[in-house]
Amino acid sequence: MNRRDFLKLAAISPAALVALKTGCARSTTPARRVIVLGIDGMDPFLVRGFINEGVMPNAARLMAAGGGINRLGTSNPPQSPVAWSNFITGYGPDVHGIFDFIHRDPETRIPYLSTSRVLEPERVLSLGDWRLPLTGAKVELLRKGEPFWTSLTDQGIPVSMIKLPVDFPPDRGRARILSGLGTPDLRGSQGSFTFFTDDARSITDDTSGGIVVPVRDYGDGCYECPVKGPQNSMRAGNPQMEITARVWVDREADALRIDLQGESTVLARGEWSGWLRLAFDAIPHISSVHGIVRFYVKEVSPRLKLYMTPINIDPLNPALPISNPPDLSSDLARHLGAFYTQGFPEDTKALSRGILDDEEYLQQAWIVLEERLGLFHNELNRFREGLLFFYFSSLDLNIHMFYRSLDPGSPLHASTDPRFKGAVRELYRQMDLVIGQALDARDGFTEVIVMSDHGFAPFNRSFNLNTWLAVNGYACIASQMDRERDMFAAVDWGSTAAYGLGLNGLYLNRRGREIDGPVAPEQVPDLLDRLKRELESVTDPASGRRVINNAFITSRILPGPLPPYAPDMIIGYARGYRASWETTLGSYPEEVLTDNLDPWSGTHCIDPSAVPCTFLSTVRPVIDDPDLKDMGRSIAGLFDVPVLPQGGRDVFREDGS
Amino acid sequence: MGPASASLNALFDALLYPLGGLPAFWGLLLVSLLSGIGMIAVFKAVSDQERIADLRRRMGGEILGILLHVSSPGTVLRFAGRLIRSNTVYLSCLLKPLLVMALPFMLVWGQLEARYGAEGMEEQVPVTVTVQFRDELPAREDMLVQLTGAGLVPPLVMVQALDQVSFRVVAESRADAELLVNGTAAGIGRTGEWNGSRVLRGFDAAPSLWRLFTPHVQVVRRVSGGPDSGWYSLEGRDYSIFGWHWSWTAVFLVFSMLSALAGARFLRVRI
Repeated sequence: MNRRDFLKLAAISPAALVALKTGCARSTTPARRVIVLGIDGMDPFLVRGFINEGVMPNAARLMAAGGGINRLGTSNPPQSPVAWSNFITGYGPDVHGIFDFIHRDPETRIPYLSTSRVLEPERVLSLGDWRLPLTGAKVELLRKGEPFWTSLTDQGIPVSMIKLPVDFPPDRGRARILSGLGTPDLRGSQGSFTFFTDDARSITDDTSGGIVVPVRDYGDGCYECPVKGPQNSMRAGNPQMEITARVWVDREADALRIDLQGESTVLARGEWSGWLRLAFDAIPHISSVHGIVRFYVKEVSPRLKLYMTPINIDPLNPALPISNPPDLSSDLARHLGAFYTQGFPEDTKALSRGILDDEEYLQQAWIVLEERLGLFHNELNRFREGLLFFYFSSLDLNIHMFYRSLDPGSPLHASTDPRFKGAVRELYRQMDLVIGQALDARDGFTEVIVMSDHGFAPFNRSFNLNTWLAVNGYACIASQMDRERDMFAAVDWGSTAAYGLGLNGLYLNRRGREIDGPVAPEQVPDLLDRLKRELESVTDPASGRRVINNAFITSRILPGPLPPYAPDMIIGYARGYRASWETTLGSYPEEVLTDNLDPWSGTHCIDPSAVPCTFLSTVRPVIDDPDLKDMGRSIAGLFDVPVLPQGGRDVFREDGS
Repeated sequence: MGPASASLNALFDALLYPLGGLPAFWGLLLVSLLSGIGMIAVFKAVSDQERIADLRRRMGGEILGILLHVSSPGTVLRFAGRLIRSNTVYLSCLLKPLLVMALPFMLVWGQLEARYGAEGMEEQVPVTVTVQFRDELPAREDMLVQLTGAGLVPPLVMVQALDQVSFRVVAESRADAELLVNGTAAGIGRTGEWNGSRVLRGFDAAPSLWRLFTPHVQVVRRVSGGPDSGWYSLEGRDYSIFGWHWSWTAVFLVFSMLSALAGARFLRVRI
């Protein structure tokens, strides 16, 4: 380098450094940004209707940019864990292994959550009552297959997947991930509320979705409320850890004070608390497990009615891995405050069981949505380059609960408070604002995609699949008294050929696979054909309509080798019908078809052709029949990277390659 | 107790005020470094440095003796016995400087806890206040709660069994607020706009000597019919260092220790 070159370089370098420092530098290949809004349950028919009504102007803008509302093929069955796994991997259940919300152990038929499981430590040192793990306990993601974003991060594209479904525990790659759907609460369930009351009418043994804890005021205005936490794996027998909340009621003021682990919170009737932190001591002063809860005061006088949300994993101090990198959740919590970490944040079970009413439920759902919007704005503001995927659960769970307000055919339509009949419209309006914010963040190098995992349909009539199997001679009831009990308590397995479990699954009771299974391998094809024929001809005596559009024989629609926990048939219900809650848990009510009187009045767990996904994009797709499985490859293809994920097709290229 | 407490607070206000313009972390860091140097200087002044040096040499020799005679258990035991004795004498030598430093250390600790341990009131974030009456609670209509610089969020929850009243207040700004409950006046939150000013997290109208070490609890004048004490639910504060979040105690202990060690080397202090 001569003196002149040196002087030139010296003159240029500070300017270059300043440009780099202020972010003004532009690389030769412009960075492309892709914003993907994953809106669970956004229905293309409702979107079209709301666009026509002027409720969704931003969706209309997006529609104009990308050539209309495209319908995206959903998964079979169209359940969120299956559908989002299709999206993530680019393959179907035969590859990613998720066939339903719940799977069952083929041998014992005991159901378990399909997406993740906890593995106990392999080596434990026992000291009296204590069990000290010598190796760590692990949480295992049961979804198989490679996520599509791995090919992006491998090629240097930054990826953020916020509240990502079916990724708990999160993938330990280079993407920033905050787990969404599938993340349990601290007790390990998908969300278990607690309701403290001294109202005898509210006290039941029902534990679905939460527990009712009877409490009592002994005259001093104090209720000792036991807050049950997770099991303590460091003690023999894994007892549940417990702390006590002291609730002091002031009936005259119609308010109360909650004293919990040294902190006091004052609440009046009808108020929600902020997030309160809890710590359960596994080993006192050495090891604790942290959670967060909110309280809602339903009533103070004459009876105490105090609702507590499921104990969420504390994002500041997570007991289980909920983000990648691990400190992402704590950074977000410090910046934005605590937030719901459980996968199903809207407490639909509390509404179904009458613990919360419509208004209270919507208040809670609104809290969830506001938190989610805060997270979204934070991510959008920091998004400079690469892929940002952001997931919203609000539409799905709230439309499950309020489809009755849209559908005059719902048995609950007339009794739904008119004040809440606009709830669905308001939620779509909120999602439209989100779409607008994403569109406003666009520059010449940014694409925006809005997609859902399925659409929606009414759930007006419940089909008791197990009862139908019993009535038609495919299942044998040994004990009439136990018909209503869960987990097939009434069944004589030796004489039962098939059983239903989960929302769409039907299983043959196969010899050599299930204990006491009588169905020999050579009987399977004929039996499946007969079941398919008969199930597809079931009609509703109340209306004469077909109940099941398609009974899919799994091995014929999924070409790959199937794991033993895969269902033998996937039941594709017709619009308006769905498996009853009793079917999902293996009981045998008397009636085959009943009216659905649960506020859970919308469904998508039916025939996939009836509930396609929504797909709006600033890029015009050129393939006629895009599918969820294509989306990962299509998103990756927008980045001009040489290596694309293997699964699916690129819907933005003519040849799909 | 009130005047002593007030004088001490005023002294620390004066000492820390020059750091008030710095972000809280840098203020705490400087205080921690200076405290470490101060402690080591006091240690040097009040300890018998020659005796400590002698004992350290002796203990080194005894350890060496153990290592050289590992094959002779009797000798090892003899050296071990001497080592224990030397160690005990060494610890007794440390006792005097530790006792001398204990009181100022506790005072400094309390002051730093009050100034760097908690956030003040955040705008629009409710803080729960609980006040404790000595005897029985006044009647509801006789409860008089007034606030300056903050708003009261109803209701007042009266806990008869504990003689306590709880309520929420919301700050109108980040500045300090004043609370008046049945004639007893107390501050809430920050006492000044500057970083390092005290954050009041309670009050006490019947203070003991202990209150000298807890300056986050304001010593107030007792009023007939007023509450005896009160406490507020203010958030603890953490400090971010390279993405790690530290409590003020961790920052203080780590950096004061590092500066003490560096000071010991620089000032040739035997510890």
